Amino acid sequence: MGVVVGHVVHAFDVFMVGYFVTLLAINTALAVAGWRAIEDYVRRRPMRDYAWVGRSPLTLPVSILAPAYNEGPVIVPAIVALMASQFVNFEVIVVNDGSRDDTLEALHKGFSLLPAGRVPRANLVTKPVRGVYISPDEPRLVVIDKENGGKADALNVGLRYARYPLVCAIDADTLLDPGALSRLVWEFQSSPDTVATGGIVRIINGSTIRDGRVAEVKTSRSLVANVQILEYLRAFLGARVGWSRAGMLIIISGAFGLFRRQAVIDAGGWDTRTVGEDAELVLRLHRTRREQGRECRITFFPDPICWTEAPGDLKTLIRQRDRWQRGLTEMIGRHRAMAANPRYGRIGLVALPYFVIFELFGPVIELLGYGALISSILFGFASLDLIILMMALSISCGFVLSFVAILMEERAFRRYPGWSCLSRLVIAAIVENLGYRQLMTVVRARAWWTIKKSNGWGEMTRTGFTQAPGSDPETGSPAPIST
Amino acid sequence: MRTAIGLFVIANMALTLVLAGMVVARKLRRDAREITSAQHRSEFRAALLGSGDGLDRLLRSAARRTDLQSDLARILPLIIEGVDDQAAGKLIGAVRSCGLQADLQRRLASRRPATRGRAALLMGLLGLNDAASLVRPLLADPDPDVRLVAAGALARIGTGEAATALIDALGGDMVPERLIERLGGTWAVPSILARLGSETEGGGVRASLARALGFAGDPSGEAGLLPLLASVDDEERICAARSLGTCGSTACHDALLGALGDPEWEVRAQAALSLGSLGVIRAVPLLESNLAHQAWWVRANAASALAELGPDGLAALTRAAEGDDAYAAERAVEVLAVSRRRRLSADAPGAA
Repeated sequence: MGVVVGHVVHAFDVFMVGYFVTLLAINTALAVAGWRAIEDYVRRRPMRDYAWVGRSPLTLPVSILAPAYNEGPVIVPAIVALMASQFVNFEVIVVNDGSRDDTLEALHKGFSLLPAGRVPRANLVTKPVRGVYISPDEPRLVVIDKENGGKADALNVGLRYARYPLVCAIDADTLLDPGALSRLVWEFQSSPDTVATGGIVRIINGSTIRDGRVAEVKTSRSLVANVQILEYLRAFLGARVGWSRAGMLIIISGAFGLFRRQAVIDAGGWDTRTVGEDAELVLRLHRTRREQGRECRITFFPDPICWTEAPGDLKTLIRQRDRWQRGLTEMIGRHRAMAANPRYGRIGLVALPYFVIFELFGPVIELLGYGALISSILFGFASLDLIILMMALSISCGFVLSFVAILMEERAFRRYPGWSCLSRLVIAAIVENLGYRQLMTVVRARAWWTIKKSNGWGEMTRTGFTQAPGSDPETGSPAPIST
Repeated sequence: MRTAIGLFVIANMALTLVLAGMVVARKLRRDAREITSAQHRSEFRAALLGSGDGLDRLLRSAARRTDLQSDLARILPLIIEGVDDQAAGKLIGAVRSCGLQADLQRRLASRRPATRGRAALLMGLLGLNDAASLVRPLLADPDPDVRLVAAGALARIGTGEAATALIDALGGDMVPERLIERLGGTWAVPSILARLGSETEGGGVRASLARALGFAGDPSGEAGLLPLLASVDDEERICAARSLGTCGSTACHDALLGALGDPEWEVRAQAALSLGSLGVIRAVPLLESNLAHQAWWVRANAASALAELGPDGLAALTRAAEGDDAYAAERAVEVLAVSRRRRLSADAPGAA
């Protein structure tokens, strides 16, 4: 019996070593690809005239879709801040998703709304629209009042009424950098085959906000927030840039993404049955366009910045990550036919299998690995020093990836200029690998259980346009799934 | 096994330390670079605006150093408006004599797209009149960023040769809008008009040129646009109707009124807007009849145009709002409400 158990444990150890080495190799490849992409971007940046994109009358106009649910106290200042964008030609479509508070009244009062006879320009099935309003004071604003149907449904209604060829879906508690839209639009203008592009999402905790703008960028006093700042840097600058460089990007954050309107309509709009509608849409765009034999260029752009508030406490953070993992599970479940399917090219053969193995099953496999290590010690199959060495190897690899992300940030963007910010990021890099990452593994593995508890597919989460300080930012943040 | 893992851990930790060192070194270097860059820009500013000297010395250094070229490219857009003709002439002379132009010319042939693009950008910012022929080949560059920067540089150079290069590129692989937006200046109008008169030009190119004339807004463009309103090509008529709204005179009123009856709804929609922006009061009856057009954009633009045409236009909107046609009434009611609210805001105490 002991021999059999020994063989099983040994086989599992071999599997874990193989799993770990593969994951390390992929992460290294992504970091290298990300580094090269950012170097290329830094070299190109001086020749890109973003200011011209903001001024030209022929710049592709953008419809900004802003779903709102129970945002009465903050909706007006949030829209005013959005309207101050430096971009030349855009409209903001606020979709009141059947709010139970005074969101619509606040909009009426703030912008002197008038009923308007607008015709939907796309045929998508959504909850009924109760009214469309325009503002004589702000001609770029359209407010749509509809029955409650969730964030994806609100986005679909916005999509139906959007006038412009590009649509920007923005999320709750987000602030756009003044030139962010121009930078994203550049990508569509320089490469007309672009279908969607995502910008970097950064954490606002600790920074100073003035007049709806991020006036001074700083790291936070909260270690939990700083660890997330670093996590986002690694996810966006390392992994996402790397995936984009390799032409295999399958996630654009719901907090900030720009899409070709017709492509989204052709793909059927946002999926109302998932909590991860942002990532699901990107994967569906890949799928439908490939099935139609059409080009599908989806990229990530590391410079246009959207700021979001990160959970400041562990409880909220855990809820947020649980939701992200459920979104990932639903997305992969819905498009499982693409995995390992050569019809979908690199997305089917590389990106999706990676997400299945290392992001979907990864947390469970990692936990089993920890369990096997403990069993090995208890049953005497492995010595303590070997296990400590393995742990040290895992942690040291994490250190390397974290410091590569900090170096990328310092090389390309320098958004955290002070030495104190830098030192906080270094401390976060250490803490992240000594407990935080392991905790997140447990949380993500637990999502398998919470999906079962919530009866699997289709649970709806409401998301607002912006959040009052201190409110729950769980639902409004992006998903840096890949680390 | 243990040794291998141990060595790997040690290598990782060493690599972490190296990376941490690189972060610190990078930060120190960039801090220092920002200080020197600010100094360089300040020196360039002083030399270019005449309060400092040493322009030749700075440009000679720039001919050898890319960091100085970057600083020059950063400061030029901020101060170029304040540089008088004499100083601009002096700058161009110095750029040529100190070898900077030759260096930029060499960089235009670089294998690296960023190097080619940055050279073209600086040539455009410097406004080197004879650089159009050098930048022109970059409009067909394999790199999209370089093509865009070349178009921008040619617009800044702003000569007839530059305009011709941009017009020629309209028939190529570049997205037409990226060229049209650059051609939309009075400097390009003579070249555009000459090309519009050419019998050999294709319909798509002529439509693009019509749009560029609209953005230029130069009254001399009207002569080129009027014949296009009678074109058999829909796109040409649409673009001409749109552009006459910014550069048309009384001479185009009849043609635009005729365009309100065009079978193509997009021509009607653009003609309506143009008649509104030109203030053609006698268009009111025709615009009023277009309030009931089957195309939403025609109804919307006709209503907007009527709101621009003073009491006659507002009276027509009021009639439509009270009329039987639900589609016309819908547009009229909305535009009247917006118009009324704006008038109230303008009349309110404290309004500017």
